[in-house]
Amino acid sequence: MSSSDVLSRPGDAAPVPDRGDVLLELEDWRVTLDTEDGSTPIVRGVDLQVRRGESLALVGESGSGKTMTTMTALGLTTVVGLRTSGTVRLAGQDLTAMSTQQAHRHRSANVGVIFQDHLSSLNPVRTIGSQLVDAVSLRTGRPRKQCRDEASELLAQVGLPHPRRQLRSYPFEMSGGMRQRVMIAIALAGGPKVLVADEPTTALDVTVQAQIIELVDELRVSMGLTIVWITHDLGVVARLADRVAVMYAGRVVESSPAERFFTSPLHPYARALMGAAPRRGAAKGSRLQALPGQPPDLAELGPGCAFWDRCPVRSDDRCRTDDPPLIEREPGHYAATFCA
Amino acid sequence: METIVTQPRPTGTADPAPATNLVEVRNLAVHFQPRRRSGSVVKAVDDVSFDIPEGTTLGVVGESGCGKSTTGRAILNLVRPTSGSVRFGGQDLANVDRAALRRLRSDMAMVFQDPIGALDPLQTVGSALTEPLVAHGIGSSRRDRERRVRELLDMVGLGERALGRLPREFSGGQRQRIVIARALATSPRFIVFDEPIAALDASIQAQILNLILDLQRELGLTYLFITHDLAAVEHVSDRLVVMYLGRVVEDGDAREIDDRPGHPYTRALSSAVLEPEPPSVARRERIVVGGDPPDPANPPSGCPFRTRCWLAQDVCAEVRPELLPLELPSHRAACHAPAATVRADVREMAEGVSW
Repeated sequence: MSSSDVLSRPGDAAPVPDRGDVLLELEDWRVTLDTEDGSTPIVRGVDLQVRRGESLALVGESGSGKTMTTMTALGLTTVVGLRTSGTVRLAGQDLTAMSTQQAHRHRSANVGVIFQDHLSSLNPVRTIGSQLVDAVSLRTGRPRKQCRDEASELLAQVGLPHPRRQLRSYPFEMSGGMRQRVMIAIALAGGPKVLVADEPTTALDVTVQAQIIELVDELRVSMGLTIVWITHDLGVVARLADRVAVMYAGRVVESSPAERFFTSPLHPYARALMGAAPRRGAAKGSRLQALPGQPPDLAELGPGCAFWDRCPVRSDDRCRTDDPPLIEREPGHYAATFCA
Repeated sequence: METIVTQPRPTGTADPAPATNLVEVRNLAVHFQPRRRSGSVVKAVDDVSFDIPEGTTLGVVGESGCGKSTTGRAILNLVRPTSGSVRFGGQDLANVDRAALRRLRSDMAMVFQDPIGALDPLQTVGSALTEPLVAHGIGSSRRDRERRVRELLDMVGLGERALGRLPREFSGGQRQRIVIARALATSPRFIVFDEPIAALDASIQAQILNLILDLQRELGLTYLFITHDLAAVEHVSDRLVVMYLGRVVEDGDAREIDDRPGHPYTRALSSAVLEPEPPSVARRERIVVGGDPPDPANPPSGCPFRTRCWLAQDVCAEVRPELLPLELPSHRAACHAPAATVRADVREMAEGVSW
């Protein structure tokens, strides 16, 4: 089991990380979507640091900007009409200062990505092997012929039995869990430092989800990976994150070591999410502490806190007029709220 | 050393003894014949029996392909059972004529996972809610029906403003409210919920679960709640049925199964539930079963779970275990593992020892 305290906090007994430890860093990252109806800010100034070997969970509901933040920062989105600003540093180099081609090369050498939809991410009419060999060849620059061994090695690493034989199978011959393992193998081709996982277990059965989570945990240790796990599921976060960043309406509203986050969440939204989850062993029919309303329309955000209209503890007028900044409340634990 | 202590928990319902069964399912089987002769029959549901007392909720838990949705559909007569019987309010659904079936249908409703696919994108909410009223001849006048539609919207927490709007103008949670309102249109006694919260955001799931519970309390409804989510199903259910590969592997009181899961598969499912809790707690040792559920067209011999079970012995491949009572007569599991093994495991679990 990985220790939950891998993250060192300033002021802790644990060693203070130097900046060289930061593998991926976003600074004031902003994304705006331009349409005929005007422009909508969908990511509104995100600062994130992911340290080497760390597992960061980026948590939020649909529309919170968690996927948009990551995918735009890594140049992995093809949505038309997106404008970005801010800085993205990956393994010491500023992606935003590079040419598109340079950025692409630097990124593909350092980052592997797995998506939720393992079915449509694979080409149905090509074998697993040829797709995996593509990935290895692309990442390493070696001719395809020399990549077959590494491809079967990768399949073995993600726990597929008979990797040599599996290279010849087609996606439809595999179960969802096996296909997700293939996706992980493709993401790991060429030995990236960072694995970005966008809800990779959402479409899977719970027992298969447990396998995939365990696999990623093992790979993280054996390959020294840094993990960014994008999810809406706090249960998954509890299982695998060292650190948590919660997004709401395009901003990080809380960021904390995972243990502190679950024992003493600060932002009213984070508290409400935890209160709303059904728990084992509760009496039948006991009411859940549901959060009223729904996430705001980003096109119509006012000047104040985006959570204001749903907030159970909103207090003064300040919540309506000022957007609370993300402030360090205790070592390593940040929250953007006036109400904690 | 007997350390298993049953914690007396407050149960939401009173003693269930006086309740009569609204739904009685006996040896239900739904087999699908492949189009090609060479294919083998898929036993989507096989030999499933349970009762649902009026006013209670039966949770059906399992993973994809276990037959839980087909079971729900068979009860509503949306798929024809291959064998076995479904009795609703004492009447065998196989033996009623069309007119009677139509009347019975208005007593039943179904709510699906996908609130987007369940609504016609070009139909206003008002029209979607009026349709079932017209189809079942409810309300003597247009005004009558309009009043009923407003009432329905109110019941699910939506205002009149929703009437003239289209589904796309609503969020996922609101759409699920609309679907629930439509299910309530004919004043059913029984609703099948098939993964009603799986497609919803975390902050919305609790709203919908609360609504489902409130409606049951207010209207005395009887529910079949189908899900893969053990935490959610325990929250709403009185009794549980755990299915694997078309068969019931465990059934019993929801609290009892939560405290002392009897079947290894239930324990694996239970162990796979991830709750928002501190990592120091969440990262306790868990059972992670390997592999995927087997192909229903080609099930293993004997016990269907044996190919993934860490307790499997030779006998499991030869003899299919029957559902037999555990410590409480109302709690049964279909497993060859001797009760002692199960109990020892459960004791370790209770003590937080890795298992």
